[in-house]
Amino acid sequence: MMKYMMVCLILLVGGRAFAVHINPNGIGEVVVIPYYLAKNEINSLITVTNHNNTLGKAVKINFREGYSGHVVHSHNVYLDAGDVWAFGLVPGTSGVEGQMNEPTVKLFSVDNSCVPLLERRGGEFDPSVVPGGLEQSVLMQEGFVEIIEMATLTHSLMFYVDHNAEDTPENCDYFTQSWESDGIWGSGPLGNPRNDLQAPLGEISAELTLIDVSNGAGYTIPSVALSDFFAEDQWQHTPPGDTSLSLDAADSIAWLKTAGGYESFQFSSGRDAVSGLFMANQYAGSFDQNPAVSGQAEMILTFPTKRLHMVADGSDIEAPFERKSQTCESRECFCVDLSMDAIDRSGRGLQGGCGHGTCAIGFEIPTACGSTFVTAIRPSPGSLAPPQITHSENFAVVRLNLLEGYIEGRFNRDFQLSATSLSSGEQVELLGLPVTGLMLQNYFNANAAPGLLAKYGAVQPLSFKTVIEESQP
Amino acid sequence: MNRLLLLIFLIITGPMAQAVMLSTDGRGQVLISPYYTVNNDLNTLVTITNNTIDVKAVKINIRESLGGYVVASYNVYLASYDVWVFGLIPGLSEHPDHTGEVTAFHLSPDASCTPWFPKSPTEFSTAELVDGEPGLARLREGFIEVIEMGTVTGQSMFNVFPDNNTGVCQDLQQWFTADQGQWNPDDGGDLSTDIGPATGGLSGEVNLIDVGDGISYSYPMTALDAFHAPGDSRHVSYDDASLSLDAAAPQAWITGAQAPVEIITDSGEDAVSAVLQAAQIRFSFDIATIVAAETEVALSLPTRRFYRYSGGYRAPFNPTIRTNACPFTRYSGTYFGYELYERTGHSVTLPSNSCGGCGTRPPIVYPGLCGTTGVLVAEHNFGQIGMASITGSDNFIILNDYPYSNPPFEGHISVSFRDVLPLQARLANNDRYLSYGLPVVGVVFQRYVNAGAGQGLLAQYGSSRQLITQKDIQINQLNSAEEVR
Repeated sequence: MMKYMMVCLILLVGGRAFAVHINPNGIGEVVVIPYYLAKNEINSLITVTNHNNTLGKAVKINFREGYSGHVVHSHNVYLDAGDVWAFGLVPGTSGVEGQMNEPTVKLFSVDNSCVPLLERRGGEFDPSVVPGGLEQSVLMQEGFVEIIEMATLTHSLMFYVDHNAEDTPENCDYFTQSWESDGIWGSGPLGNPRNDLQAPLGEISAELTLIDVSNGAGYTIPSVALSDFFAEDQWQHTPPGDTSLSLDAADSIAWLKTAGGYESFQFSSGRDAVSGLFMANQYAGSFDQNPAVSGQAEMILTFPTKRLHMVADGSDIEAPFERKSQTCESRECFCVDLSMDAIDRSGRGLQGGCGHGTCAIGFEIPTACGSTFVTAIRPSPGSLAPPQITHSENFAVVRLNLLEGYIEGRFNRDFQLSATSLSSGEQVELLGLPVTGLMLQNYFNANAAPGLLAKYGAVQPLSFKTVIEESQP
Repeated sequence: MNRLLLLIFLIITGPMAQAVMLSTDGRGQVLISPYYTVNNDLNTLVTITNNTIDVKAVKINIRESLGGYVVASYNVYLASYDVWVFGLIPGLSEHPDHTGEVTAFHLSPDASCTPWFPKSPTEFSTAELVDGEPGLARLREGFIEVIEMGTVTGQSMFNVFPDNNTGVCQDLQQWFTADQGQWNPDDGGDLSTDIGPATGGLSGEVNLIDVGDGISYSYPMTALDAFHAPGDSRHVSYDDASLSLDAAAPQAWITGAQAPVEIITDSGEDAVSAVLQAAQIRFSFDIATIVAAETEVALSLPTRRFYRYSGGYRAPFNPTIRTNACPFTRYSGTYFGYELYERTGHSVTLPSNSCGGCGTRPPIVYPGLCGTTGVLVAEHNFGQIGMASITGSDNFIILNDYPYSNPPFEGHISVSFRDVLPLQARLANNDRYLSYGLPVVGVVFQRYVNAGAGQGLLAQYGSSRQLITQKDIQINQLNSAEEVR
């Protein structure tokens, strides 16, 4: 009888269509952009588009610095139907008292979309949350971006976001006032953050392009879209500046691609469900560092949910992450040792006699610390200087005696995350870590026409291998 | 009660057999490059990586833009973790009927084994171009299929490893042609000898490089997983270009905004079409004159030719040959409508005779997407460029903001295919599956010019980005009609 009940339970839950999943078509309720950068002369240009042509959207945008994943800037944007919110991030030095002349990121926009409380003429990122504070404020010049569709605006709110003949929303102040104590979303007796809103519909897309102004190179960063992010009726609309809404607000059931097709899995939390979508135990990307074309390559790994797996006091980290050892107490305890093979275009590993290309490289094994990590690929022998494309502060250098080929990376430990299949009831383990990433590549053509700056920028998403195994009893 | 029992039965029996699906991790058994071109002095550089320890037999088909016919096809045998790199470049034809015309050449510096297909510059073939437009413009752009045929096993796999590539690869290619060659069916050979099931794990990337102007556009190939039925392989000869996307198992997982749904189709081409089908495509554009910005979108309909028959086309394409949309020599086309939005969200191409401030607009003339691969060009009302200046496409359509009185330079465009018919399939429980739109893959190109990058320097920025697609699916349940999305 119990077995019958179990089947019925699985049947009922398993039949639920709505569960968070990756939307390969590039549109969804949540968009994760694995890298932003505002450093040296590289700017980030970001656009967020509402694809609903009738109704507006309430969208949360969180910029998370690359080391600990803390929010260094967050704003809400209330988009008109079909509206695009466009803004840029540029590097600069602070003009704010107390952090004067320190490295910072400034936000600029000439877009009129409704963004309550945002300084659009050089509003600065907040260094106070960066580990190390002001002394490490340069860390916030790179990181990743979460874009979350919080809600759909009902017709009663559309009047305020509707753009008039001057291409200006009718009344953006209304959204600021709505969050005041006597506003419709305020803390007063009639206030409720869901007033005049309805559930999100998964109609947001976003693009981020890095513009290397002086070098004439552009890199459009591939993003990951998630659909059916919130569980039914669990959608959240939080105030501007409230950074609590993040990827852990997801449904705890996720659709995952398995060897046999798609299956829905029950995770212990929304955090784990999103981590499950990003789980991979192998990643790969090709590189070219041929000196004839001044080739440079940098691989970026982002762990978008890593900070959510840290325990509250920061003293430990939960599965699938593990601390390096139980006695370790420094911040580096939560770094991840990487294992890499550099493979030439014939499939041979760097060390002779490997044949199938599985030889571990015998030199620097990078340790990926933080949430966003850059590996600069260099010829061997070569410099250990910081990366030349991203100028990242959180990096490792891998020197390869190989001009062209690809990197196949793995994690040096058997990390795993548990889930339960809703079709079979079996517990499974997802191997690896929740990761996304890309390879930045540039070339220089020294033989271009005089007066022409011929620097070519290219971006390719990394490819990943996902492994799901039945749990051992 | 019967319905509950049926549902329990479906759960107990579990998922159906493996079904083709869009990969979300960049790896698969099949890769599709939505675009290649050698126009406009662009070179196309393609990189295919075998991310597995398996040795693989892979078919490469390069297909021209109008009829989708093969203009170059070969097998490449990839060792474990091997990479295959090739380039497509422009050059002058030496074909007797086209001498001196600009055409496309394939070349490769790579050591991987490609039996009987030369690595030196090799002119695209016109042998399959049996109808349609004459001239070589149609093959200077198109799309590319990469299909894993299977894994190479047994003793044969040692002939693929490139350690002593040249001699061993020559041995391998003899298997197709020599007397009693193991892959020579004409003399007792069997193409399935030492070929195991396809295992996936291929990834691919494309770079369009404009050497002269110092611009490149990089984009990933679309990956399809579980293309072959479990345990299946389909190893064909080096000169057999018939293996294509219709070889898929007739089952598919459909993903998008809605929860994944598994369907059973009538054919392999329907399964792939259902996976790639889009009712709408969307992309942002920037054509600001101050930075000489340009936006173009390359689209390919990689399964289109499977739906063509002597009397027209079958669903999801409109059965009527739309000669008004495109010339018959371009294999007709599909009408589409487009809405152009400012960044404020205002639509400036309204689907009516009213256009908000610009007076009465003339009747709408819907453009047609001709042939198999084409380029949409976002153009400002006053631009009058009248050409695809990024891709140099010969099969392009201008999307301008006519007749709006104050047209925007930035915004986004939504394209909907018109008069298309639903692609029909069924679920495992026999519910009816209907999806609207066309099977499409694409990539968005963007270019800017910065005249002030440095003293006396002209900097040009090229980038590419993903095409946003939206599905329109209906599932009619056993006794009722319910719209899923």
